[in-house]
Amino acid sequence: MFRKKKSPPKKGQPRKSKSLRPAFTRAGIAVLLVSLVAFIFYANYLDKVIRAKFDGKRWSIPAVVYARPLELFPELAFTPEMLEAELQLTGYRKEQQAAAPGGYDRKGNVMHLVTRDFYFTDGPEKSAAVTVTFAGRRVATLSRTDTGERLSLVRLDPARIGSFHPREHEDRVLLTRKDLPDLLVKSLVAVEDRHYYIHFGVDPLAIMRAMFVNLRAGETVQGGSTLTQQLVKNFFLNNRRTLGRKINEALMAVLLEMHYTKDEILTAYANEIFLGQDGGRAVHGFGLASQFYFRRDVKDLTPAQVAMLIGMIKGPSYYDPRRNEQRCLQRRQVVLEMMREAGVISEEQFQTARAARLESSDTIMSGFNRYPAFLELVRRQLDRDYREEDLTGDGLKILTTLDPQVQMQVEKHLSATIATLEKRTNRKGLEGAVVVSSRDGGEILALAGGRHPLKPGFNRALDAQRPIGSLVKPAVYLTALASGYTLATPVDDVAVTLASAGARKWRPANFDKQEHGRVPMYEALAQSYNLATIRVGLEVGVDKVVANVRRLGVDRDFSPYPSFLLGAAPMSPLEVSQMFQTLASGGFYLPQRVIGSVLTADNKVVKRFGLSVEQRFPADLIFVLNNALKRVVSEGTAHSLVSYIPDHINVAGKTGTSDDMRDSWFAGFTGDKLAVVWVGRDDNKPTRLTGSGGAMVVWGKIMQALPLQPLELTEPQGIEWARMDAASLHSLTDYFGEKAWLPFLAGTTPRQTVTARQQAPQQASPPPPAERRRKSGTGLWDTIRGWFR
Amino acid sequence: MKTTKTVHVWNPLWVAGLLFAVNLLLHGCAARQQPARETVISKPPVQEKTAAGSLLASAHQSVQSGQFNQAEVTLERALRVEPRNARLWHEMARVKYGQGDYGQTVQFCLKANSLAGRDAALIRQNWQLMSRAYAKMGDTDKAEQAKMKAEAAN
Repeated sequence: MFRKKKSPPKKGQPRKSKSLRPAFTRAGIAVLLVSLVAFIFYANYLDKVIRAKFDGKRWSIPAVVYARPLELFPELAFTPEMLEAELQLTGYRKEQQAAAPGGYDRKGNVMHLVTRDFYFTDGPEKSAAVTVTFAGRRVATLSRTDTGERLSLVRLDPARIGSFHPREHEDRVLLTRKDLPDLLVKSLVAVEDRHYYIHFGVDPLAIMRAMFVNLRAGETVQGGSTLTQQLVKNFFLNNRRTLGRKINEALMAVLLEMHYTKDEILTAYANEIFLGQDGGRAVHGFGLASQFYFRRDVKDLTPAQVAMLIGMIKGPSYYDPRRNEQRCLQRRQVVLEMMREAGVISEEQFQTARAARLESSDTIMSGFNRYPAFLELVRRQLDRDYREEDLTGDGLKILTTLDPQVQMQVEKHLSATIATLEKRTNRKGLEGAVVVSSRDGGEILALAGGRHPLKPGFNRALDAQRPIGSLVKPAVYLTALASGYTLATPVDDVAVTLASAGARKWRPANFDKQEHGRVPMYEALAQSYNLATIRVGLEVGVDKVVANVRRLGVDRDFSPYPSFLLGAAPMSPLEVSQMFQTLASGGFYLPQRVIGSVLTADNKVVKRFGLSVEQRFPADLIFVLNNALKRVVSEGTAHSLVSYIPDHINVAGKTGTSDDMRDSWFAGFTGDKLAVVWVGRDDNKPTRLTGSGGAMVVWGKIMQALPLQPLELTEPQGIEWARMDAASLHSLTDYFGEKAWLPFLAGTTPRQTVTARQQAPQQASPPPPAERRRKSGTGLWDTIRGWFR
Repeated sequence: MKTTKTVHVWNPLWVAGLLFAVNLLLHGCAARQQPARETVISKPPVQEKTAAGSLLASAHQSVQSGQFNQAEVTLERALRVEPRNARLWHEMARVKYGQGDYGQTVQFCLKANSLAGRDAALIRQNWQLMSRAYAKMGDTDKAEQAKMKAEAAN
């Protein structure tokens, strides 16, 4: 050929007429060959693309994240409203009478629900029909709905709160071929692709019919696409109706059919088809769609519901049941007729379905990726143990510790309170973060990374590093107690000047710019006196305080500058939470957890994050410190917390304010929960808020909305109680005030005080004990008066 | 799940109530003045018909059949229901012992002791178990000390 091209054309001209035909044929063959080769290459390329896509999709089952399961038992502090909110989040539907799994009904204080099967770490929990009655904001009774048998404990299937998928803003409820009900498959084939089981990817008959119909109508009213073609189209999500596109789709459809079975393609279709939009999240697949529109599993759909979903394939937004109800209804009726014609449903079923209302549950607060800040923490914990591909590829089930009840209150009150605080201080731009955990389990129950819970971005709970201010003081006084100080040790709250090498002299001051003279140590903590703290801290050694902060669980290096004693070191709210966790649990370090277990798609436990404890500080030491932290709330800087949390809850906590009021902190715990709140600005400008004026208000509002256990500090062996006269620092035998009583480590009770009690050290209630009171009071009179208190 | 039906007249609750009433008469003011004070009296042994009790019973069964991991998960559930119940923490320690995790056995015993209050029997059991765990770890000194503490606990 090469030679021929070079040869002058003239040479061949005489023979033109003769050789024209063969030359033409040869050229034709050449062109044909070339295009065939090109086509093969192109087809090969398409084949690769479509197979990669298909396999990728087929196997890329996202890891699904679940909240903690709700465990109901008699006496649990829980209201019907809370249970309803929980069930809504978990995707239950409200019915006249709960009959099928995932349904519930409520008549005042009585609720019936039918739980759904769920496989937990400790095995399967079967679906159960349960009746719950409430009384006085508590669960009164639990029983089986059918037999009435009393139950001591019921575990609900947990809410899905998110998933990790390579494509964000997407989610699936992935179905296998087995999960697809016959009704759905048959209807789908009848409506969308009658020859599905016999064609090879494209259906020429259907295309011709469509062309005929469209020509007659003068516009595109009918498509001739097979399910396979539609699947291809969905893979690439391109709605341009160019001829090239169409041909490409058709080619890919044929190629798909060559590689995969009809069932595989059908399953992929059922999982891939686009069926609507839920805010920022695309609703793909029948699994998710039936949850989204009906709060049901696919297998529980009625013919009318199946018809509605199939009808929507044509145009999910055009036939949106929530926005275009009439249009959607008409389309459903058309589909129902096609289902009847194809014999998928009987005449009777057709009549019933046709008469059915277009029931679509209201737009719901769906749990899917609703808690991005918490999910971020889950992801980080997983990243330490898993590779990214494992997370997105295996369909793992991640069972977390999130308590939706707590999370809801955290989100609600953080944003509402911050808005109020902005108004009060007349400053915009406030932000906040909250971490709530269980006191003795160290499980993170809720987390807020900012005031707008749904807005992804800077996660302040994890990533904001801010000076913790006075939140460091418990560590200072802990160190002091361990070095021989007692809560009654007099400390001097008077000015101090510190010379630091090469820097200006540092003259720390109290918040009120006053000196308070000689005060007992517990008071210095309760009132958060800076000068006294500096003096105590320098006396015991800043390096020791730093070491104790590390022992409390913040495992980082801090320079032992004196300013560390006033909380100049920055920490994240999560780190602060870990630090206070060790105090709240009585000196036991519990690595905070967000994940309980990770299960494979077939329910094998691949990873457990079990409970573990490590005693870092002696129980008696922490007991004494925690008693002092209770005084912060009962008489100290957090005294105004009483406007939110009743006295008897006995909160222990600490306020924190950094320089110029840039950061407002509060960390505190009740009998069952520890919460840390930070309020400040991203630009680090002053907030005009103290710890108690900002963060503590958020803390109070959140905790106020939750059922709380009063804080009980179990008294360890060896604690001695003594009465103190706070004013004179001397014991007074006739001093009655409860505030005069302080706990001391064995052998450290100051001599001038009177040890109140000599009974067994584990004695239940701390002093003052009855017999002593009678000695000093009027006995019977006191007794009678006591009844009326 | 077992259910026990006890409707005796001498229900422990009645007895406790009666004792409480007598106590109130005798030491009324002390009892009334400390309502919010911490109570150190450890909770009574877990009743099987309570949520935590039924879980504990199930954990016991798992332990007996050597399914320690199962027991651990069940006990974690129970602890979520009653996190301050010293007996549950002690059971957790036994599970850790069964799993051969003697370091955690000691730690869970210490945690159980920190919540045990006046429950001398439980404190003794905790020290006994710690003694065994220390022995397994080859720390004979601590094993001996723990044994002595067990004997001293009453």
